[in-house]
Amino acid sequence: MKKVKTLPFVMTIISALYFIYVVSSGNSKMIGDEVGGDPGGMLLPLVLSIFMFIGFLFITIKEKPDANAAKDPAVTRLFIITLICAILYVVLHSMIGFVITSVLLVYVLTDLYLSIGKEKLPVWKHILGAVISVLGTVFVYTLFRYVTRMMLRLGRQRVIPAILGNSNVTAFISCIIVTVFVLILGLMIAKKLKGSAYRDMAISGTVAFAVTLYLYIVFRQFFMVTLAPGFLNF
Amino acid sequence: MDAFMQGLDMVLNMSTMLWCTFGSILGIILGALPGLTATMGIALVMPISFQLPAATGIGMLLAVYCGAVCGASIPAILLGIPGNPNAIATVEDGHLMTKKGLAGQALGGAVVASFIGGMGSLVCLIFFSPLIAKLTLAFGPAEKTTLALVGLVIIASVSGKNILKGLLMGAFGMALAFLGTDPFSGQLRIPFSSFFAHTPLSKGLDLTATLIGLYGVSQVFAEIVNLTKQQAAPVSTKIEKIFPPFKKVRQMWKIILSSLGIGTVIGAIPGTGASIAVFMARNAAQGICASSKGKLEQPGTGCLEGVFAPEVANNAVTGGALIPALALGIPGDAATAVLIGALMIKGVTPGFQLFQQNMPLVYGIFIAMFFANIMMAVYQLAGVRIYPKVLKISQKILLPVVLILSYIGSYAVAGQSISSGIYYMGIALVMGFVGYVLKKDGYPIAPIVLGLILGGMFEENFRRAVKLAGGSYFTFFTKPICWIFILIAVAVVVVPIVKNRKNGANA
Repeated sequence: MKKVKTLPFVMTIISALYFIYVVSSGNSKMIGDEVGGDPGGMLLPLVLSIFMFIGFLFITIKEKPDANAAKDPAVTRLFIITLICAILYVVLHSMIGFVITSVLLVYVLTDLYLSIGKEKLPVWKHILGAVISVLGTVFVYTLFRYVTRMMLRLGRQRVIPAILGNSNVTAFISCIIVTVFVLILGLMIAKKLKGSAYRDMAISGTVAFAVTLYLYIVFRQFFMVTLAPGFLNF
Repeated sequence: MDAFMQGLDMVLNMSTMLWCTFGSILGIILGALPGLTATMGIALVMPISFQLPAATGIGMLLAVYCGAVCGASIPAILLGIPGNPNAIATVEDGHLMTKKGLAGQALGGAVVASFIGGMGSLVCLIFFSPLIAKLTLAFGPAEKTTLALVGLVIIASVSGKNILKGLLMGAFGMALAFLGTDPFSGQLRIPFSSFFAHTPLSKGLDLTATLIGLYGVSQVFAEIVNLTKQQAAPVSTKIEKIFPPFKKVRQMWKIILSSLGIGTVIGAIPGTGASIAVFMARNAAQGICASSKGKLEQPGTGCLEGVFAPEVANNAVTGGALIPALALGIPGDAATAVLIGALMIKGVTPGFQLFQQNMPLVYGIFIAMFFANIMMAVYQLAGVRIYPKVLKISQKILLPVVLILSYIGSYAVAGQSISSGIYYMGIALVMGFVGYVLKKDGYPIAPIVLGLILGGMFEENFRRAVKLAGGSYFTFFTKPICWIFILIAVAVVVVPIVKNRKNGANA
């Protein structure tokens, strides 16, 4: 049986390790402190580590784990899957790229959450839904990338009015393209999939598609942030 | 006058107005969604503000802040669930009004009250912050050290039920602030320094990614537990008359003034925040109504008085909290702590120097706050029939969206470097997990943010003060201002402990 609470116990150990680290690093003095007087860079971290160690040790001794705290296995399962997805997103981001990892993360989590308390569909259908979401997003991404690149080039060559070749205008056009697709998908979900078992999957796919591409437009096309291209290196 | 015109020029342009509009609407929506707080909203849009000029970026963040505080009244009135702690005291009367078929008036009244609160506290901000900032002229390194200590101790003491946990979190935040390079010697202060020397960690823990992790990612983890619970009842979106009768508003002038005063003063005390102000304002309103000889209805019966008092107070907190934030660099609440973080990332250090060297920006912030309040009122009133529909969006869809927003927000800090962006996402994930675990065990998060923000200021001034005193630590006990701050810090810690002991003994 657990005798102590995990968190304060872990924090006590971390504080002790922090203390050892601070002491072993030595005291760094101010540059040009020939006459002395600088307490050095070790003092405050040392005080903090001692305070944290004593404080967390006190809590570890004083607080007892709640014996009645029952863990809901469904919540634990959801939490673990969310955490794994969140870690995988960071780990695989640079290799696979922003667009595909983002669609997958949002699709998987939305689909998982929406299926809570509902009749389970076979796993292969969920995987198929994820594949369709990725392919659909990549298709629209390629489409607006092609359109905006062409406009930027034609704008530079003065084939079309220069204003249409402006990066903000092309980003706005990308936004319109994505919005048209989102509206079509939204209408389809509302009209064709009412009461269907695939409705939640379609909602997940649409949310993943919309969020990923809008974020791409805002951060990449408006603010010029370099997003990881990954597999879509074109 | 020149500085004012320059400030006006910074704000009165199409770009700032559009970003403030975006911030305002986003803030209202975030505030309306239960579980999403104003602080989280500011942290999420902070990366966008980097890409904008300082006044525009700060204007957008202020618009999110004001919008989120006001937007929290929507679920409080329609569902009886506060969007965030700012609207706790609005629930009772607001929801009773909805049950009486007066949802429109309650929502409209909340907007009018929030507007009055926001504007009133803005006047106080404009008047008092330069005066307080001027006082800091008398502050040397020793005074600044003790001032930082006060800020840290106050927020650590009041942001949770357990003072020790708050103080430990403040210390934890400071320890995180010390990661990176020693500002005086240039020596690396990170574990495994040979490994981390060439990573972004050598510059310290990134504030934006840390804030996003603590407030965005951790919230996603924390809300998972609610997904398996029964969803809230369908929202009544039938809204008729919106504006409260003018005569009624005029009769409530005493309630408005008292709530405005309470909100502004409580907001200006670091660490207190709106959740305390709203209850104090409601209590004061009860007293005023009781002595009104029947002219005013008692809060608690489903009346406008019970909506006005907390709503004036919670928006008055926004201006009040900015007074110490701008004048001293000590945030009034968690949201202003994040705002200070945004200012510092922009290279702007709050305090007298800001008022002395960058007055146009100060005016720009005041004017942006003015427009943020106007936009909050206009967009919430204009969308009073639309926003309730936002409440129908399921948490099951929102949580993955918040997670991806948190990630991309922290990634964007890196700008052009993919590897740095991924490192920042990693920081957000780790801090999100840490924040979740701490919150779950009853540790407050706000002191960590304060420790991170004030840690650098504290260490720099502490070492400078001791050095100037020739290595003597008694320098902090030889100056009257230091004594005042030390006494405040001690009182803030000791008084609640003594009170708790007394209450325990009586029970």
